[in-house]
Amino acid sequence: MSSTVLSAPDVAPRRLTPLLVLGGLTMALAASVVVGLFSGAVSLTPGQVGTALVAWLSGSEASDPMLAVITAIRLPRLLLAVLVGSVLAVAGAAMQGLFRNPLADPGLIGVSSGAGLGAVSVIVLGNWLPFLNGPLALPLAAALGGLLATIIVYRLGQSAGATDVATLLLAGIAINAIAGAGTGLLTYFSNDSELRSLTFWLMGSVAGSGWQQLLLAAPFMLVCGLALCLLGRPLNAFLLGEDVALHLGYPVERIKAVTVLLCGVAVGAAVSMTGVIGFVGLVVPHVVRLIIGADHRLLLPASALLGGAGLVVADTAARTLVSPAELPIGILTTLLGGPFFLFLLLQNRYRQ
Amino acid sequence: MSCLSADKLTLARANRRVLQDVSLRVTPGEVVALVGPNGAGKSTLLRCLSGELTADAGCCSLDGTALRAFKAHDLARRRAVLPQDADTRFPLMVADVMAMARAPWRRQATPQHNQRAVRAAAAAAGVVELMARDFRRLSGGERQRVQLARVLAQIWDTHWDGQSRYLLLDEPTSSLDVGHQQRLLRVVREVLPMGIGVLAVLHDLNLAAAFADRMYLLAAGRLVTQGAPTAVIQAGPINSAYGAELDVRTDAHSGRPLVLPAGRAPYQSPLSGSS
Repeated sequence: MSSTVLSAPDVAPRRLTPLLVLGGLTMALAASVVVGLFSGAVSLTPGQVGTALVAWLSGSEASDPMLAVITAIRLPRLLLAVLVGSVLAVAGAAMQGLFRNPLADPGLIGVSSGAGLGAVSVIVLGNWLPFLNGPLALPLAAALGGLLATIIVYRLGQSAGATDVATLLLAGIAINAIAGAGTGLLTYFSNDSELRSLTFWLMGSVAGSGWQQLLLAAPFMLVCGLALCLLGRPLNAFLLGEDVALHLGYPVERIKAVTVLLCGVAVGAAVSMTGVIGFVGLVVPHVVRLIIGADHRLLLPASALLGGAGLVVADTAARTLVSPAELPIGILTTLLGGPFFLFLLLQNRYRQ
Repeated sequence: MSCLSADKLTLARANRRVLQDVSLRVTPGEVVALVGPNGAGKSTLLRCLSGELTADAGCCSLDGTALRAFKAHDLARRRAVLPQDADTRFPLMVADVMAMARAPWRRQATPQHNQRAVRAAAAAAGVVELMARDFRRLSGGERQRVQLARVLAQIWDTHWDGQSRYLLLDEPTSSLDVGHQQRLLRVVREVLPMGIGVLAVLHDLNLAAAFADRMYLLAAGRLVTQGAPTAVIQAGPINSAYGAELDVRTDAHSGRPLVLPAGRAPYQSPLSGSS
């Protein structure tokens, strides 16, 4: 036996080293943020941006109100885009792994619209129910809505220990419809100011978020997103089936519960800030997988980085393309992500 | 006493007895075949022995310790399971699939040690040249050999500590051509000296007779008979268990039992009455 062991060639080399992938994506993310800082309705020189950032970091008020654009508007907005993009992408990757279905996506299976309904409820019902008025009410309600939708879809899609793809997607359609009807009903009963904030984020936008809102939702997104990145090893085992994960000694039920919980809370928090931004959770993990394969230990953090960069790029485009007006970012993510996804699919198909 | 055993298992599901008072034993160094008609409870018995299911009555144990008393990852280093269907729609390399097998060892062994185990298992199953391939694009036979390599890697210990290990294979050959069937089961027999005991659900009685040391025949959740292939494969119990008409002969060359379908039933005209 030992002679065959020695003569066996080494395990095949990785397609790309993890360090290269994560390093490259981190640089792409940083570059997208820098470009985002400079672009917008107000054009600024590098010197002005530098002055504003230095002044902000040293704690003093920006002397020039023009420079306040950087620290009070663009910076929180960019950070929100990074966080939301990362969270949507990593949650998409985790759900696709958990459901063993490359089509699972927070938007597609109803998590986003569930979270949307939760948030709209707080916006509209907050006037009548005072306990819905605290600063945490909106993100919590969104998280709860997202979580509830995730659990319902998950339970419905489960049959005899395996996830049934068709049932899963149908359940998602049903949840989307029900949540949509609920949101419509609440819209009908809303007053003018509620209607404005409602419409504002049903279209999906990272605009209008100041530091205060960002700091409210950021901990939820950060903690859940980072925790999801650590689930790579068990999610790998799920790729061959729940029973394989079980036979390998993983606490399958606990992993499922934790993943669903983290995705629900993270996506809920993201949706509560920006509304429903589709396609990021579906496309980004696919793109990453086509490049580096399906090893979740690398796939999850790489998806988070690419998702963050992608949403920053989309937001920058949304701000500059029709400046001084803005495009809804949800439309842009679909416009950018859809064709790119098709291109990759076709390319991959012809290579075989 | 080294063995993986089921002791008087009884299990009901939705008011139907799936297993009734079934006992079974696998010891290191032997291949035990579990045969029986569809729905006899073979897979359920396998899932009890893997620790996946807990029986209503009776108990499964590994080397005298109840499976329930094992921590999941400790048990995973002692027994591996090849399920009927473990495909994926994700782009995994064969090397990725193999690496997963070492998950239960991540606190017990160094990465180098784990890589050595993966390489050794891959060499034993003859899949070394497939390591850089996309798992989804392998042929059925190649895929099943990789799966076998994976479960071998899971229980592979390069510094053998003398502990017994077990492989549970659920219809490992059902989708394979005769050549792949034979190669797969030969690999299984080759690893037996490493202190491995094998329980395999097999549908092909001739294949079972050729590769198993002992057989258990299960029908309707009950154990019909057990023993050496020549003792189990007898026309009486086989035909009543399967509800079939099979001729059982003895192969003059090998002395093994040989099962042949009894051929077409004599033609009866539908007009000739109800006899």
